[in-house]
Amino acid sequence: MATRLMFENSCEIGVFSKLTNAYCLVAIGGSENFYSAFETELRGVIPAVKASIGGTRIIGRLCAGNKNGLLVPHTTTDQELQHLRNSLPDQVVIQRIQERLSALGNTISCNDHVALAHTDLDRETEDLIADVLGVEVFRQTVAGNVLVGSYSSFTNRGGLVHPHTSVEDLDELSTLLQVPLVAGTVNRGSEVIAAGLTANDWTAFCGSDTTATELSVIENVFKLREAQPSSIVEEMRKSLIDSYV
Amino acid sequence: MVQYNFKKITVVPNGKDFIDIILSRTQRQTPTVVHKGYAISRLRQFYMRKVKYTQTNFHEKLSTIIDEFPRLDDIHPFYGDLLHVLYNKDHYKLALGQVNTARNLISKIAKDYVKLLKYGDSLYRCKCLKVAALGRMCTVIKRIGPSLAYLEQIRQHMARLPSIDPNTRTILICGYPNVGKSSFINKITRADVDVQPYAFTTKSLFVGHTDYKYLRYQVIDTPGILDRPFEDRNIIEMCSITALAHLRAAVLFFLDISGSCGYTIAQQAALFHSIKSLFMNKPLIIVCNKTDLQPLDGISEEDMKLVKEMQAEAMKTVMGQGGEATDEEGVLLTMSTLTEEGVIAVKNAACQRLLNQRVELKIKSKRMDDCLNRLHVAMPKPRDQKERPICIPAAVLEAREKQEGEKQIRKTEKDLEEENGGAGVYSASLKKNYILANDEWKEDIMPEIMDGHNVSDFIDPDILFRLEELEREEGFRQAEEAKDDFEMDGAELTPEEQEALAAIRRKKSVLIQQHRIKKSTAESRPIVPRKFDKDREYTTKRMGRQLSVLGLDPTLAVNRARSKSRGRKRERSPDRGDATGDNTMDVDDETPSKKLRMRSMSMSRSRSRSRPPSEVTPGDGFKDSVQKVKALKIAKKSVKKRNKDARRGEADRVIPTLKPKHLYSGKRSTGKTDRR
Repeated sequence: MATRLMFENSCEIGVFSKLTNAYCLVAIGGSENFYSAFETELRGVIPAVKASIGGTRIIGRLCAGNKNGLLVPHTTTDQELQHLRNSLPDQVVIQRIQERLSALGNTISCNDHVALAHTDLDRETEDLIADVLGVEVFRQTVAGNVLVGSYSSFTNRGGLVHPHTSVEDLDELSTLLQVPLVAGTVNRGSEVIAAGLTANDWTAFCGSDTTATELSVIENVFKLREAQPSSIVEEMRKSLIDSYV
Repeated sequence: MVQYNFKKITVVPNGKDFIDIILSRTQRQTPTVVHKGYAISRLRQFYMRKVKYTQTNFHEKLSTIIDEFPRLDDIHPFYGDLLHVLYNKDHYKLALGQVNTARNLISKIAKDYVKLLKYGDSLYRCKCLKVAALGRMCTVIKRIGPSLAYLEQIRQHMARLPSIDPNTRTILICGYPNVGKSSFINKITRADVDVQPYAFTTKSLFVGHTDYKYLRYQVIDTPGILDRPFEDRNIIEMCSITALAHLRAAVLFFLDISGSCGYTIAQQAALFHSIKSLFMNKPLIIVCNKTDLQPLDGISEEDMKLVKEMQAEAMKTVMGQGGEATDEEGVLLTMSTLTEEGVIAVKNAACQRLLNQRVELKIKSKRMDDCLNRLHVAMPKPRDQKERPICIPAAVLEAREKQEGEKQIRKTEKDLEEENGGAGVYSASLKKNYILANDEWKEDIMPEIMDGHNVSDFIDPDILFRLEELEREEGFRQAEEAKDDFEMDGAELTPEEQEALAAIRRKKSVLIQQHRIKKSTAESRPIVPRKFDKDREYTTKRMGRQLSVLGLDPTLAVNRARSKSRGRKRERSPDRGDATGDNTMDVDDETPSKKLRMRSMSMSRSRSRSRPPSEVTPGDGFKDSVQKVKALKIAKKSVKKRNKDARRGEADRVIPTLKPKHLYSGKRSTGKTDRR
């Protein structure tokens, strides 16, 4: 099930939240609406944690993580780090890393087994990603964009990437990540996939501007609600052509 | 893409209001005061300005009208024809044309009168010319009054037109009056069109929206059409015809097979055949409505034949678009809007056929190549033997099993917020959901800084163990301290000691008081260290007195202090050998001063010229003399003493003469307060 929601009149919910298979980080907002949307959907299966990083609310863009661990940038204060340590389950390793490209959410995109990383990340950071998150790391670009974390979003079941990714790139990325991939948009044509969408293996959240077509592509490729990615080329094909062209 | 929104056209004032608006603006925004005595050029200029200003305002206003009303030739032909049907193109163009002529006339009038004003030779003449100019302009506007009224009416009507997008996916419903078109649109959209059991309930186009396969479709309900020659059709019917002619849509032709609308199937078939040219290249579906009154199987033989004929005709349109002739079921459908039987089937068939047609056209277009990648699902090729399992907690799967069974309602933060005063009032504790070994620790306050150190820097994985160790050590030390403690007490002092203590305390309190007095009077004067002795307190005399009080002989100390003091300048001069009487340890008596002695001993040969300080010698470590000069400057500055003794300096404020004589003597006349 994909849910449409908004963070204080902004549809870029991937900026203000981070969803993984073991926990969910949510920005601290003026009201509880955004947090409660996650709370109801996750039903306490995994903890939903209100957090800030470096005093900002753009936590989704600043941190990277999966069920094994969480990487936070060097701007994270000691208090925030302690808060995260207290709130997350013990098996989740939290690591603060000294990396020049401190918006880790924009530079790293990962599921529980593989990660794509920005081409300019430090070697130590790459090692840390591999160790803390327990993943294979590939330095890649998505449709010529180095910010792989912004332009792609994938789980263990499937992924959505920048709409201009060529068919060859899609196949290559898919083989690297070992999940089905589709090029698409969120939030009524937005190319920054990860800003408008946050997903894990059984649920997804996207911005309220997302159209029905986009939502169904998301549900299909992430295999939410018994949907299969193949239906994008079968039943949905005509609707997609009519809305794209 | 062009958006058709006629709601934003500005109001067209009627002729009288128009004139009032413009004239009052001229009155308000141009100068109003003029005198006979002004130079004639100024007078002319004054009135010219009024004429010109009025003309610009008229021009501006009329231009907005001309620009904002759509040009029938430039907009989408559907809207062009619809506006023609509703308002009559000729009339509309004429009205706008008149406005345009008026605009030109006014410009010309203004030009003429400005020219005349150049020759105005008095205030009166100029004024008359101005009045004439404005009067003629107003007459022009008054003459186009009816056109303005007409345009205003059109504007109001256009603002109420439904916003139909001619380019999007559209489903058109047409048929005889009273066959159930509006009931159908009410069923599949939320348009809420008025439905009444008489003909021509719907008098204009209505729009609703419906969804099919993730896409939004625009459904247009048209007024009923009668079967009569094109020229005889009224405006209401012509709306339908326009929509049918210009919108690329799926057409639903409604057929009332029960005949309860008042028209037989034969009549309806005749209409179908007369307007079938409008259905070319459009997905067409013949919908047999009101099957609750009369099922399709039950109609008479010849009616059935007519229906079949229509179906065959509709099939042609299918083939016309290149579709296969086999899908007959999508062409003739039955439904009943009363029982809602078949309604959804009709909608789906219409949407599907429209979609098929649009997709077929689009696949051929060039833009298709750009989005081919988005229709591709990349499936992974296995690259190693590693298993990459998905991770869905058991709780989620369980919940999915019983799904609708019982969804227990959780109390969310939002509910709590509502209960506790709403957003901005309620502040949820961030520590509420901590996962800790002991729930009581949740609200504990963690120190952040301790003894100038960041506590977090000292947090280790084995912190608890270390804490235990420390606590043990602390306990040990406390136990030890308990054994040998001692206290200081005033009761154990001897009388002399007590006296001394009292004296010390007395002295201390005196000092404190003195300090306070000084502070209260001295205000912002600098605090000077004691050694500079600003107040002349620490004198030799005082020293002698104090030493005497202590029972000591002060002479030696006083003498020594005197000998150390710097004497008058004269006493220090080298001529007065006797000044250094104590310095007789020196062997050479003829050279009283060290300086003189040194000089005389080295004066045997002439002194070579010394290096200028800024010259760089190897080994100095300077790059060039500029750098050296800079370094020397810094060095000098660094040894310069700060003005700690608060001496008067050049930066201090100074008033040389408090009452200068020349300012305080003599008589004062006007304007002589600072210089006399």
